[in-house]
Amino acid sequence: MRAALPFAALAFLAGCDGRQSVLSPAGRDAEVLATLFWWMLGGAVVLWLMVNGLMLYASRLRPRRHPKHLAEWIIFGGGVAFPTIVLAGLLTYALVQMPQQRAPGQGLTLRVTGESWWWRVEYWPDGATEPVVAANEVRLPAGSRSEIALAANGVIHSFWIPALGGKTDMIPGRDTRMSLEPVASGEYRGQCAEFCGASHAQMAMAAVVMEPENFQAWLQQQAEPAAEPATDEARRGRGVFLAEGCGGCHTVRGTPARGRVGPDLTHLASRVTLAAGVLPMERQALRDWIRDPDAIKPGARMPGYDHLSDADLRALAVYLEGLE
Amino acid sequence: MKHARHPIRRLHWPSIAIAIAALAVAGLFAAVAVVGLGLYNVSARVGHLPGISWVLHSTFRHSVALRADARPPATLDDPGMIALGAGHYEQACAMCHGRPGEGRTATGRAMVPVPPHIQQAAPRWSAAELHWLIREGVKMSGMPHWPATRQDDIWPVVAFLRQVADMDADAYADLTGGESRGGCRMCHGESGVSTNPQVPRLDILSPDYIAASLSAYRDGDRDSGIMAEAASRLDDDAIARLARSFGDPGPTVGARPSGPLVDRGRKLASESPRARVSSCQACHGPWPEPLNRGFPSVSGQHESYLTAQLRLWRDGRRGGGEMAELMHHAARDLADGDIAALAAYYAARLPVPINPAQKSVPQ
Repeated sequence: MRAALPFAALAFLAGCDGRQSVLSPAGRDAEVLATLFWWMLGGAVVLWLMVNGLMLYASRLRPRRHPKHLAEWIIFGGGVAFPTIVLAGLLTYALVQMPQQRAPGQGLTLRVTGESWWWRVEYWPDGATEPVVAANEVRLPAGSRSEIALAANGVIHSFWIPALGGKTDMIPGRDTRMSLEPVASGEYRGQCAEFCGASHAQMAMAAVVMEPENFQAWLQQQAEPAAEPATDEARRGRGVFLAEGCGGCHTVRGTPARGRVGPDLTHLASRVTLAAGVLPMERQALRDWIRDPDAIKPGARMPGYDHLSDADLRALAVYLEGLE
Repeated sequence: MKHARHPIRRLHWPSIAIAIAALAVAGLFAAVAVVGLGLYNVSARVGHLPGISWVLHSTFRHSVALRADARPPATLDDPGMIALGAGHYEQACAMCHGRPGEGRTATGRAMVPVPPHIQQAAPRWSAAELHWLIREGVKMSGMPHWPATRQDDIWPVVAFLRQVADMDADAYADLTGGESRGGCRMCHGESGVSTNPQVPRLDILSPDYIAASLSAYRDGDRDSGIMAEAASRLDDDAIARLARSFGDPGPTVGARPSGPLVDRGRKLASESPRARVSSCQACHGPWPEPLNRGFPSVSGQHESYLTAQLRLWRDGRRGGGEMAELMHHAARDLADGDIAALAAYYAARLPVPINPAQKSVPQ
């Protein structure tokens, strides 16, 4: 049993790898934080060994009366001086890193607003007069530092993509900011890191880092109006979308739907997840979500459309999955 | 005296206990005989023993006076409130309490206790007491309680009862629609064009929506004592027939009101500013694409009705058909000012059905 413990611990450590981990950094800020973590861990291990080593020495290895000045040196040196020096060194190191974490971004500004429980995302390229609106997914170009302006609607949230950098709170009525400089393209995962209500745990997002030229192409495509439905069923689905009041909350650019309460759906199907990182972007998931959002995200603002017939629901899902 | 004892010490306690037990058993037998064998005569013709009526009636009056605490709204003298109350009175109350200028029915007068004629009874009570009486009813008297949990739609009846003492038969007939007394048209007007701002006009609603609403009232899914009474006698066929019986809105003449409140409502209804309120137009029009015919048009609907309904929605007290959830979500963050603006905006619009080009093709 005891012999198995280290292996069990190793199994848990496997969780430190992957799309949502501070320990596999994919951005400058995350690299700094990971390095800081390892230094802190090293410092803590040295301190622990030192303090416990002295205790072991005094109580077990040499359990006898020590000369006064040696005892004083063990207590003062090991208990006060050494930890102070190590901790002060680590603190200085950490403080020196902090301004870098707040460095202003260049070129692209993202404006992310925490909603209950999803993310409103606006892309403001340099010199733009109006944003490219998206939701529930953050895409960034690799190799440059993007500015990220944060806000919240109603309650506090916290914006955190562990693989790319530290987290920053989103506070209603107050603008906060941070910046991120991803280095490796790939798909990562972000998570709201401040308890914000019933579905806090269901408030995640995909974070996609792209090569700069791919990112530019993607952003241009996102600025376009929605694709016209290509099949009869999709056209029928568009009719359902516009007849059932979906446009009261959602925008699909190029249609009369201009609501702003819920996520912009113009390019919904180009996102890798549905419902803010909770479901895969698949037809069945779209149907399940539209029929009963509350079952997937308790307290969700979106009402259930369980009065739709199966055929209507299916057509609606087909239309939405065509919005690439 | 030396051997004198306190009298109570001389009581023989076991004998007393046996006597009490015997009385209890005898009482139980008597009760079983009265309840189980029918020895008590419940005949209304026989009436009460002397004095019992007085005890019951005094208990009733004091009980009402102790409990009546509702605060009357400022609109109790509003003619629309009085007319709506008269309509409900005609449907639900006149059979026992009579009509102004008419006597009570022979059957009503044979009840025990005898329901008082409304023109004698109503002036004896304050508005709050009338509200309590209508809401709660009176046990063992034949007076029913309000057939809904919602309470604000009791006030129109109170408004009517405050005027009833001085009313003559002609005035009452005017209020209750004359020849169309008793039907939908009594309150909702010819072809559903209600002129009473307290009563919604039906000409702008689709047959689908009217049918769903009547079913919801009848089945208790939508809460209104007035409409529960009106819809409770309808079977599905009657509902389907009535739903189709209200025509297209006629041409409306005259200037429509406008102003800052209407403008604010228009903005709120179309743009969902501050990303807080859903755009009303996506379900209720005006909308460039065909809408689900189960959604009601509210263009040209009466402002006071819209205000009352939006408040019920916002407060989570408005029921309805299978799509009611949509409106609960849409209305839950409306402030009173938003509701006033939206009601003013939609009331100022020309009355049109949900899909103006399709109204004349019933599905």
